[in-house]
Amino acid sequence: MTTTAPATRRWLLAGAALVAAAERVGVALPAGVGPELDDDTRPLALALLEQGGGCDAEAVLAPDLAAGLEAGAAPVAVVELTVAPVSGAVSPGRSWRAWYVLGERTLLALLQRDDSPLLEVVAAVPTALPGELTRLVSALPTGPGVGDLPPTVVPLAALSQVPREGADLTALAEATGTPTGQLLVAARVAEQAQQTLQVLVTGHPRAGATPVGSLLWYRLPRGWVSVVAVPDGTDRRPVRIAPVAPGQLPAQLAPLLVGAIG
Amino acid sequence: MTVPLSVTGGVGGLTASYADITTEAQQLTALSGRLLELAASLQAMLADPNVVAGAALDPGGAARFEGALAYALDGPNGLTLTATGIGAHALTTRGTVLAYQAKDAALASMASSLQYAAGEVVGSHPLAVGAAGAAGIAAWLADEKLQGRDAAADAQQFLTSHPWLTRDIVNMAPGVIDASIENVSGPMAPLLRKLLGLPPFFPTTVPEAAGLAGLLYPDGSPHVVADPAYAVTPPTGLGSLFAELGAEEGNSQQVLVDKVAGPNGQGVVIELPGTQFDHWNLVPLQQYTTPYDLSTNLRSMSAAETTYLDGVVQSIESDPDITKSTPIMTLGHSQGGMIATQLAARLSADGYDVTHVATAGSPVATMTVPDSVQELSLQNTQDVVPQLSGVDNPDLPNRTTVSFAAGDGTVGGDHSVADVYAPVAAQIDQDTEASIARWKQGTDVFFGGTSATQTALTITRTFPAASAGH
Repeated sequence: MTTTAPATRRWLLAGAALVAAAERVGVALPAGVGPELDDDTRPLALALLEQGGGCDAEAVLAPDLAAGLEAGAAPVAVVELTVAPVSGAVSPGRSWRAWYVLGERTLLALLQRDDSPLLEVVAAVPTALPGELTRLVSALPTGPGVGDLPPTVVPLAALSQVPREGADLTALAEATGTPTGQLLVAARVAEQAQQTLQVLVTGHPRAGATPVGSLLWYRLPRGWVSVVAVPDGTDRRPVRIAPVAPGQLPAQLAPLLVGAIG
Repeated sequence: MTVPLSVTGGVGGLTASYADITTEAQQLTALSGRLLELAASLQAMLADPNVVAGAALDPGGAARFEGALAYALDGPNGLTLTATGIGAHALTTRGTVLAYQAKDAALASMASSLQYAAGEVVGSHPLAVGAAGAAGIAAWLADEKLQGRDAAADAQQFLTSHPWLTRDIVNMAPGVIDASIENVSGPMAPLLRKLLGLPPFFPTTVPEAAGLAGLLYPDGSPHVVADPAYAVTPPTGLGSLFAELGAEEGNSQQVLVDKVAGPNGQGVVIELPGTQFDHWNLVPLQQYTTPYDLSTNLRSMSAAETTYLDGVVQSIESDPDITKSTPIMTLGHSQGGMIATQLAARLSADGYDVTHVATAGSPVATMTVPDSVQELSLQNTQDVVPQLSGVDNPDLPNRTTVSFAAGDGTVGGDHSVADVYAPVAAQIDQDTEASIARWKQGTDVFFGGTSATQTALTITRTFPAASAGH
């Protein structure tokens, strides 16, 4: 048995250049990627595409780029990842937006950091997805460790209602039926969170794009914590808050993608 | 014939947008002579009457331009240090038209020299390059105003005819981008920002982030309905079992419980289908009664027990025919394999005699398998799904992974249980490799039966009355 080495190609393109390339292939990019082009901006976008190496000397779109963009023609699943600062954070870190478009035969990954004017465009075979996810995750801050937050189950409302400062935990405890000790953990997340990492997985079955699952992480001063639903059949909608290492992201994403792929 | 190419590093690095500048600059060091030309051109700009005239129209912009350009020229690593002795009399004494032409030439010179400058200057002072690029734009803007033209209207034409300048702009260092686009280039800012497609990076809040989790929260409790048992042909091996899952691929909503009897005793095989496309939560805020959807997947890799898993456990543990001494095999494809692995752990913890697990196309590398359970995992190296764990399956005495390459090169085709995994499973049935042979030990009770019945479990999800959608 042999494994075929994945063919991975990368470009750094302005958003408009990427849109121009997608237009040439006749595919749509994920919502939020690049600007809309019009007759005035399209020539400039094409110039940027050529300057960015997306075309050869004869202005023909690079075959590998075209092949990668084909993923957008009939995506199996799209993973949209956003790393954003929490308002008022002391150490907000870098922000990221990334899209992984999994087509039947190709993977198209689009990565952008907040301080970069260029999108990194990756065209690869579908099996490159875990590696590409890991590559981005490795760029995330880890903190000194996985943190000292004890794994705790709280109602989702505790996270959505605990204010960042001055939380009235007693009132919230009564309203949600949650022990104050558990709410203290939620309050600590609310007070100390510096960044959020949100992943939305969209499946593309016959019915069209469908949001099918999400991940939510918060970065505290000592490291990341994940928020995972642990339904108990009640409307308390409990979630488990637990320390997590950035390297665990692909594994946490796996079940979502398994479902999207079938 | 083409062969796949694997390209790593280089421009692919996450920081490559900045390293790119230095790399290209190093390649251009041979053009050192251009530095002098650049310095001369920049000096000329600083003294250009057009800029001076533009200052009256846009004092702030001109001041920024002059400041930026002066920094590029005379800063700690400024070009002037290198270009000392180069005069600019010829340029500064030209008339307005000639000055414009000279400036345009200067811009061209700057464009091809910026990379060199980057190599010499950017290493310690990224701002210098950014300022130089911005200075070029500012100079052009000043000339636009001097000549009474609409800079914004001409910007597109200018950039079209000078794409290298735009490229240099997008290669500017972090922090310089905003300053350059917003403060220096003025009327071109919206256009540049649009062309670059800069996305918003809005801060969020803890409650806002929790809101998304709430939209896709998987609610519900299991409700199991078991169809009456019916006689079936006893399974003969992995091939027949995965072929059965493959026959209903994508359509089956039921867990199959096979009770096998034969000379080796009685055994139970639990067949678990994968995720069903038709039962996804089509609208996140709605609740669907089937557990075979992505909200189940959302929790499959966590320690949480899914509705799916709970339903199967509830059914097995309430079945009087299944005792804690009955050998049990769990088997599944894709999500079903993940659940099969979890189920083995769960039933083992409850005292049941789970002896074997078989998975096909499932990312189970990070999942725990009890030492008492032998797990066999089939993984198509062309199938992205089993690789989603991000790591290889552990090399443990009780965990055997069979890898192979098969399929039609599509995500769906390479993941197909009917077309890929079932045929390979049948092949494994005939294989005598040591690890496979070890896994097969004790499977006679499942594969050597003389009679069997099958019960189909339909697992649905029920919701609290307060939050029930439908």
